[in-house]
Amino acid sequence: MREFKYTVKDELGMHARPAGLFVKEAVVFPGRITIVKNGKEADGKKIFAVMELDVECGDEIILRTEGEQEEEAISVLSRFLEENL
Amino acid sequence: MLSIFKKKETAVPKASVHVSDDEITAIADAVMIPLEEVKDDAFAQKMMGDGVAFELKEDVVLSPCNGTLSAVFPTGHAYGLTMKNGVELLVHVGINTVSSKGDGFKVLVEQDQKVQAGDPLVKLDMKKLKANYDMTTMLIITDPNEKEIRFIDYGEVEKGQKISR
Repeated sequence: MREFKYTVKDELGMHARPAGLFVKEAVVFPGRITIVKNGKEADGKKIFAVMELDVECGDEIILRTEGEQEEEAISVLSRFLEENL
Repeated sequence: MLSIFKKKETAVPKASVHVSDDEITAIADAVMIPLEEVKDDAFAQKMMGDGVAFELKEDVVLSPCNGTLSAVFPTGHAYGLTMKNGVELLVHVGINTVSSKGDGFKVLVEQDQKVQAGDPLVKLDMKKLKANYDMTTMLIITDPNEKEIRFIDYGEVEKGQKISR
């Protein structure tokens, strides 16, 4: 299991479009991808689950990757967060 | 609630339309256009999924299907719907409208609510919103659940009209 902590800097938070684009990147990995906010977990491969977390600017989230290719997944997806959020 | 039964007797006009659980309907009187024509790359390049877009002719956006509101974004600009067959649809009202932070959007539904095709989701202050945003509204199949969904030809559509085939 790999984890990456990130504080969202985008003023608008993780709204529909960034959530959708994140999921597109996440689904290519075979393992489990999770986003955690305040202890609430969301399946990082499900756009509505990610949207439901209601991640806003200033929120600290944890990106978690597990299983096959967890190393590659954490690298690609943490970069996505840094570049887009 | 008993009022549910009462409603049936007093012929209140119902907004919802009768379609099967697999069908998708027009979200408003509108011109349906290809997603590729939407002036937002994330949608136009289908990064979020396949779908269609609508140039709205009115100020209320309706549910495109029978299903459950899996996600209602607090700003009122995006709605996630899960159909009984597992297909997930995203209705995204306008481009970059997240920036309005809810101003101009009157949300008429709640998260986890069950809706019928044609039920109103949101009322828009079109005058205010159009001053700042391209109000082209996208209907995206964010998860086709391995089903093949095809749409009718582009052009004028009426609200509640079946657009899947």
